[in-house]
Amino acid sequence: MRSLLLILLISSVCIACERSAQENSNSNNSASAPVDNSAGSPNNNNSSDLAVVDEPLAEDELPSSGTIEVDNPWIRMVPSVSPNSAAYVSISNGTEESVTLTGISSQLADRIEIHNVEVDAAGTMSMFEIDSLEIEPDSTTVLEPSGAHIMIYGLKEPLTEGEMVTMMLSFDNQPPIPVNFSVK
Amino acid sequence: MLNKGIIIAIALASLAAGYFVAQSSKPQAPVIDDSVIFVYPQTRSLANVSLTDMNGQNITPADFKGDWWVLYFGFTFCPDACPMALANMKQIKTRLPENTNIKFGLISVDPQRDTPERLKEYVTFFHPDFYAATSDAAAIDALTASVNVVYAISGDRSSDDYTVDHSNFMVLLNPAGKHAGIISSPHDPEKIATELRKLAAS
Repeated sequence: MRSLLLILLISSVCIACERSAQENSNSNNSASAPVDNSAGSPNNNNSSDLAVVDEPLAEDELPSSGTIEVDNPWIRMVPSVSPNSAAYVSISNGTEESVTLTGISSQLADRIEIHNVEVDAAGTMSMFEIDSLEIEPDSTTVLEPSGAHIMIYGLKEPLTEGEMVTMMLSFDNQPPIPVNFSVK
Repeated sequence: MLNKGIIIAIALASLAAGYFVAQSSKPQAPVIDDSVIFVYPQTRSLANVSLTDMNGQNITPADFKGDWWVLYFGFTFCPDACPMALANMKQIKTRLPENTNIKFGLISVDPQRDTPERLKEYVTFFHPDFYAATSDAAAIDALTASVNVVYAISGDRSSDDYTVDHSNFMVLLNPAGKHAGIISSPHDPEKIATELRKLAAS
């Protein structure tokens, strides 16, 4: 009789535990469901991220060509009401001498400058023109969002997503390089 | 008798354990990753100023009540930070359900150049549901101060050739219309969308 009572008690406790375990897992599910859904397609999300987020070059992608090479040139797509945009490119100096980017020219806009960006401790971004940008021998300088960039003032025509725009990069001791920038 | 006592003791202990398990299964407030969204321990009120929205309507910050809002303070002539922030907002928005109560907007700190028409064309380029508003300099000063945004206009304001330095974080308002937190850059749309969904579900 006593052992029967004990078995009954234990089994009822087990049912109670099971129930609370179920409730526990149910509430966990409902709380985490949105998170699971949003994390459901990381691959798609990552690939679309690339269009808008920085794509810094790996440090080891250094040139050994003896020339100046550019990688990933692009212009930020802006709404047609915005007359200004910015362009980004990685410039690799494969020569044995330091080279200096001295200017960018194009029919695209009224004025094109080299800019740098400073972010203060409070998170305020300010940008300012710099005359030139030095690229050390065997190194790569990356112009990228929130960093040094090519500033484009007064677009003569609105940009179109996917189009290519040619800009001429001038250097102090190297011939100018025409570069096709993709608008994205 | 001793056995009976043991049985009762076991029964009581089991009940207590069951109660504890049931208590711990109650839903808790969401834990937000504060490296993604910094939620203030206490919400703050926005300056009660008059704004003009992109449809030419007069609004006040009280009109933001009822939804979560992610606001960015910038300007349409902005070449780098603002289009990047709005492109990121679009990426966040596309990761949220269609019927979400999380909305996105641009508050222009450059009313001299940013007319309602220009603002509307600018933000809806990024997403048709995006919203924008601005006001006169005094109201913008009060509003930005109330949400810890700083901005400074530099250059010649008599031409279109000036630029505006400004904070690069997004401001989060809760459905009570209070400033609830900030979303600092760099902005990772995937992480921000995940945290926003947690907040909006709470």
